[in-house]
Amino acid sequence: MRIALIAVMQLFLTAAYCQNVTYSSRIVDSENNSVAFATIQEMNFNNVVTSDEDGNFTIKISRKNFDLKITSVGFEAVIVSVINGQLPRYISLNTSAELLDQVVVTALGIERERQSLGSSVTKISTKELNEVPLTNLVNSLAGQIAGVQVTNGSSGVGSSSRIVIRGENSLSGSNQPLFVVDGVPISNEQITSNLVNRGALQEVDYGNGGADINPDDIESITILKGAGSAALYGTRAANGVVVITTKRGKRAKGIGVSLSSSLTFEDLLTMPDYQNVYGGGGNGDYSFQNGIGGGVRDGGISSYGPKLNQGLLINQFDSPSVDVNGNPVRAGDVITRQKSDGSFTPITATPWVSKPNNVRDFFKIGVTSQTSIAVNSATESNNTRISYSNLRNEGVLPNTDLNRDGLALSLDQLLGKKLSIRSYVNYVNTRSKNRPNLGYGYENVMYGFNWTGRNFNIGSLKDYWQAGQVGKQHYDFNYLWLTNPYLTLFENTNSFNKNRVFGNISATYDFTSNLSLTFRNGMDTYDDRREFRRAVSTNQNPRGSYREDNIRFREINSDLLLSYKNQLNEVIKYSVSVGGNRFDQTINYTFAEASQLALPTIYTLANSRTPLRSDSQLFSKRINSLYGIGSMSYQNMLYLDLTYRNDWSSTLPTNNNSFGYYSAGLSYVVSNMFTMPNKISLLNFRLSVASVGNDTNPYQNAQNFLFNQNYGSSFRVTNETVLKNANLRPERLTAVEAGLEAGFFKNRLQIDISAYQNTSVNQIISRPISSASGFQNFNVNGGEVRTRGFEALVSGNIMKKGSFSWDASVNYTTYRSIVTRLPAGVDQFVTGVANVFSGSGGSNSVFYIARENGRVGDMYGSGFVQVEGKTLYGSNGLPIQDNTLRVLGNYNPDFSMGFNNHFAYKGLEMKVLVDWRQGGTLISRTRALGNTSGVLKETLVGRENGVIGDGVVNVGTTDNPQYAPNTKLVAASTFYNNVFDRGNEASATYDASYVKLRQVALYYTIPASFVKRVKLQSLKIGFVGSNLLLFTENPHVDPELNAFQETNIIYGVDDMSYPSARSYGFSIKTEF
Amino acid sequence: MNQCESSLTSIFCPCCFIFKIIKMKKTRNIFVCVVCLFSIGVSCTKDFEELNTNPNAPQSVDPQFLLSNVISIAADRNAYEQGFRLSNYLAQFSASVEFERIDRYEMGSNSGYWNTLYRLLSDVRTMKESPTSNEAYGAVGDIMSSYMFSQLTDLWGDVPYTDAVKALDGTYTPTYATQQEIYNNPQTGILATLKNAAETLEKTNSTISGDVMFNGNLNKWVRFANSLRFRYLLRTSKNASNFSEMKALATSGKLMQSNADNALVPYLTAAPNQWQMSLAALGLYQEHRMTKTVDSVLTLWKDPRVAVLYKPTQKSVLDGSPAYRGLLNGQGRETIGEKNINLNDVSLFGTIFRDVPNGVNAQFMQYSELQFALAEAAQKGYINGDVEEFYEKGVRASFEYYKTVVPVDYFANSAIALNGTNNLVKIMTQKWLSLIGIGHEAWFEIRRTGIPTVKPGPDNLNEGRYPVRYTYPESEQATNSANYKAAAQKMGGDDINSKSWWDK
Repeated sequence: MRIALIAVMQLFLTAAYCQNVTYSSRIVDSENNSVAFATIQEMNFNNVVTSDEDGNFTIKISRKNFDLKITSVGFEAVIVSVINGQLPRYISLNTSAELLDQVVVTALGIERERQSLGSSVTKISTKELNEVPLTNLVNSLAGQIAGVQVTNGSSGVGSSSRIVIRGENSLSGSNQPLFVVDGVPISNEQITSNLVNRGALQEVDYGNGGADINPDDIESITILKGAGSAALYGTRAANGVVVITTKRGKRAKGIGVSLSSSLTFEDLLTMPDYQNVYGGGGNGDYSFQNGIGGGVRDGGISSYGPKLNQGLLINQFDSPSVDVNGNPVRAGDVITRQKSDGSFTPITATPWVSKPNNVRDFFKIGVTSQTSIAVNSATESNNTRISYSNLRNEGVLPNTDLNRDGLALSLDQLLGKKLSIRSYVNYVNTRSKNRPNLGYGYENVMYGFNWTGRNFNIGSLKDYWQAGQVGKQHYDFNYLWLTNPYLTLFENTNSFNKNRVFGNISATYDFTSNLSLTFRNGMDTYDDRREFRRAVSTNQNPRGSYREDNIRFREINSDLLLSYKNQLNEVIKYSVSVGGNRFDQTINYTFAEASQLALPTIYTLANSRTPLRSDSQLFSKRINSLYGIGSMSYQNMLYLDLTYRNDWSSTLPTNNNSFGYYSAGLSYVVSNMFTMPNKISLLNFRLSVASVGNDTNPYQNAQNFLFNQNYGSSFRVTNETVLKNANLRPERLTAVEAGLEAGFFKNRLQIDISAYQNTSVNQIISRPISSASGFQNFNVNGGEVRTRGFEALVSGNIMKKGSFSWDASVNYTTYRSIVTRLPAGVDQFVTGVANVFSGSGGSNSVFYIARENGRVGDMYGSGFVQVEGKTLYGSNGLPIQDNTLRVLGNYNPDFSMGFNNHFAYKGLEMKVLVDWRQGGTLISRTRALGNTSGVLKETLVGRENGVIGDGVVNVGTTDNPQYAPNTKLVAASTFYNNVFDRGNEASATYDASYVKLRQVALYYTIPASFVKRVKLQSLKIGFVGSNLLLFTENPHVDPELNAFQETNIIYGVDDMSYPSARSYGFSIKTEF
Repeated sequence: MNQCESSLTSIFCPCCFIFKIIKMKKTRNIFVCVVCLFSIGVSCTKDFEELNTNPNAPQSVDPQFLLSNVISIAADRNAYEQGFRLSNYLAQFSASVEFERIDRYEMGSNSGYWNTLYRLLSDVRTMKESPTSNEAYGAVGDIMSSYMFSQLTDLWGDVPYTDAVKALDGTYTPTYATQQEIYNNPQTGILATLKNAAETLEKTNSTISGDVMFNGNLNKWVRFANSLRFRYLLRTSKNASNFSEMKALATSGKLMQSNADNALVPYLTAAPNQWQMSLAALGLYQEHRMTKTVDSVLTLWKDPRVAVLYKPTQKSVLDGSPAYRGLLNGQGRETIGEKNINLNDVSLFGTIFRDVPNGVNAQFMQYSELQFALAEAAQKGYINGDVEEFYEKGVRASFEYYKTVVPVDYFANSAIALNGTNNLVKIMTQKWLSLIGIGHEAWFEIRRTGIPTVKPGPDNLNEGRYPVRYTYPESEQATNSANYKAAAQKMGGDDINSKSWWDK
């Protein structure tokens, strides 16, 4: 009371001694760049000035205690309270490190104060996103956010990255979050061509849709993790929402152009751990003659041949020889070497030495350049931003690339005082001359390298046609099983060209300051044309082939939102919005294939020696929605949100196609209600509950027939393998979340923790059923999955000394999904199958099985007979296979953590991001097959003297077994061939834990004094790197990679993945 | 229209909500209109049913298209994947040099064929239940079903039978039937079903289309059905005491009459109906070598069919004296290396199996098999008839099938002549050779009769035993575990050495 009195008196005093004082300061943004033309207003007075080009302003004020409100287009408004004339030297706009008072973009593009929300959201600023320029937007989220898990495809730049928020709620389905740009959903899906592992054409990864967005066009990304904050976005948001806000034009000094450019190099991070002691061949023998068994073991492809580097001279495929006319050729040019009597010309033997880098040298240094240029302009009533960006990548695999050009335009216009229009349109062309094939088979060069002796000089395969056989017969060291890897990449190309336009336009009419109506229309449409060429003489397509795929995707979202806000009294404010949405999606997929070329080297559909294979498919889906939101706040300490949405989806049976979403959120800012101890600057509790629904894909309610190709002229149809269900109901996910946010020591230390439970019921699963029932899958509602998780973010300023500062944050994620209930009469639920091993013998698959109280992600497969925890061996010294399914592991991690560090010293800034994933299992085909073939280092054990397997043998009878340790010595080749046999999966597992040095950036801001001289506004140069180091148990492959099978991404399985790459280079950011 | 109404009521609440919050009378009416019109627009769902009707695929089709599919797919799988790539190793027509581990009795579950057969059985069911079906389609469907179920039980033992293919009726975890039930149940068994089907076809006036095997000739279907019935009667004869049905069939005149009645579907020159080996990796082809077993038999017989079935070795051709040589079955690559076996001096399969896309037929059954079956039955006294006549007819039919001329002194060879010594062995061995590539029939016959004697190879992974079945698909463990466990127990363990009923 006394203090208040004094303050009042002071006010009077100040007023009494009225005299104008000039105050100066400078307005800067979060990167310390000056903000020109900002408006500075003395609050409650008509005293306004504008900052100059360098952000400086002066204002004359007669009081010593006053409030300044600073506004500038493109920035958040800031109010600076000045006491006793102490105006700071710099006023920073849009300070991003502050958790307090942060504005985040939530559902439907509505901006909210962060502290008012009942469920967890995380905002990433543009700086965090593109400090280290990455080629896929999704990848830049890896390791940065608690609760978010990112995995990559294996085929380098342009691969699909998968993002999962808060684990997998759904037993089937992609579990991918919804991507929303400026309030309108866009597609992050990958539409895969229906290619088949080991089929005529192997899988190709064409990338996820979200990768088309240029990170430099993004102002911020907000991750809505909980179902609560996502409830308004409808079915696709059950797995969280990635809300992307694009940059808008802002008033800038200079001519308003900003430019960023980077040049990075990619180099292999992983490589199978090859042995370099024994060459190709078998039983210690090898000699090349014709690569089909005409020499000694030259038809075989295993690596149990003669010892290397012993001074041996042996005939090899690239040893010198002559053709039938005596002209010099390579030994592998077998056609010209074969005489009319069938015999071959002689070969001059060459040294039998190891080529330790033969595979590594096949890869090259990848080069990626990215440039983004943007022009900004803004006036009182409009702002414009135009940007052009490009990406040029040459992959680490020869003749693979990715090119992307994007043009984005945002235009905001105020029409009169009440109507404002915002628009954004982005055109992106993405293309590649060749994307590498994935999976197990001849078309993946890693498959070939697995069967390539350690002595073979892969580089000498570069000239990939046999002498005189250009276009007709490739050149190789083995013609039975392999295809020249250079031919694979240079001739058997998988190209694509995708033209995409997405954007939105919205109009908001403010009837009064309380009531506004927004209409918004967004579209995402693209055409993707893919071409698959296969040269004649390749192993999988001896007669060559040509195929064209065309994908036409279109999604239109239209919505209308009416918003009203007001206050009941001084302390209680409320707002209400209601609206509706129509979602329309059509996908048109066609392909045609000339399965065998009539003439070599001509790639056109007309050049077909057999009838064309073709198909066209149209998928349409519509969802109509209505929704409402109500929010209420009590002072700035208690906030309540209620939302309701109802969807009508065309994909569900008409009597069951309506479903609602409800959410309630409560936020309680304790620190604003009570005076806290000095050290606590913020304390906020939040609580939210939500129940959301989900639909399914089109055409899942009625049975159809599939067309088979004709037999002769007889038309053929067959049943689908999926049993449809006319009684499907919508899925439901119920989520409860509690969180706590606290700041200490003037927010130098901040903690944000969340705990949640998601319960998913009535999931729509295409569940595998006994194929003896006539169908292999059944679309059904069923099961209850409960996910409990915990996330924490601790961030703070660790050190601030002079001009040095160190900010660090640690995020921690853990979750466990348990199958809590299965439908009556079902004891286990197969949620998916991955084909890991093919060919005759043993099990061929990994089954993802949900058992009651079992963990989601448990993988089952076959292994060896186990007796008292030991492997049982037969009298032949080989382990005995047991096709009983057993748990091989779980593909989910136990927990994951990210460590994010920022250092700053004067003009220097450094970022270091490390992430750690603990737990999970990887079933590695690279390991299994590399041991079968003998290329891996593991197979060196016992090469000379044989191997005694660790385990027991039955020395009793079948009925009365007695076990004794196995003592039988077996040749290494036989031993590894059987232990890593394709008939079991258990021997090929690895712990998938890893620690990765994810991102490093070191930037130097060139001093303004120098920059001005070269007519620039600002200039920053940096060294950047990503995926620099990896520590993991598995010596062969990156455990983080995804595998593709048919049209699905599969988990926990390495399917002959390509080496992953580290990337490093330079980045420059400038404005002029 | 109903949907529109119901959604209207459901938007009633939000509408009221808006009315309450809009206090401004001036604009109130406008908003009532805007919001309600909009709401009706977005929530109307009357076009949803049409929108969600799959435009890419039919919901009903004529039975003929399903029939074409069932016959041609079953024939192709039987001939290539099953006959050529798997059974030829078990019957020792081919030996592997490295990768085809079935030659070393790592059998696996053969799950792809299990899935294919049940899927085709599902097509048969749909075909029979089609509104435009008739009793001829029904009977032909029953014949194909009987054939496919016999494949299932002969490969795996007890399998889902009467309870199978009922997902449409809500049975997703079918119980397994015993092999005895599958063959012999007087109402539902294969033998009864084939009998009924043949009788139906004999008297029906209905016709069928889409028959890519017999081109709608129902008489041929009758003969096929009866010949199949004879095959299965003989297969189960060890457990039979009454041979009257066999006797009746043998004299019925309703069995296959000649090679013209062979149940086969030709491979064609154009994709996708080509013999797949003609397009396969060269390595896969070279994994199929002539065996010592077949080499010794053909050499003993001086049999000219060898020139069609196999190729002279590369080495012998280079040396100028073409010769056929077989490889011992079941040897690992190390053994082949240690023994210094020159693979250039081992025969590969003949031109018809590799060099042309339409050199072979996809077969279910040949006339020759029936003649050998009659010969065996007569030899064993199950039926009356001239053993030698049946036998010779069988041999001649097989020669004719391979477009080969029977040498004039062929039947004079004491290894061939039915001279009273080892008559049954001679009949069964000729039969065995005639079954190259006809699914797993040769393996079934070896399992049933032990003729010819085949020895597991030195590197076999089955402790020197000859396998008698495939293990059940792992998917059954995963999706039908209770019934799987019961069946496995009844079989004496889900093991490749558990003999089935007719085998015991």
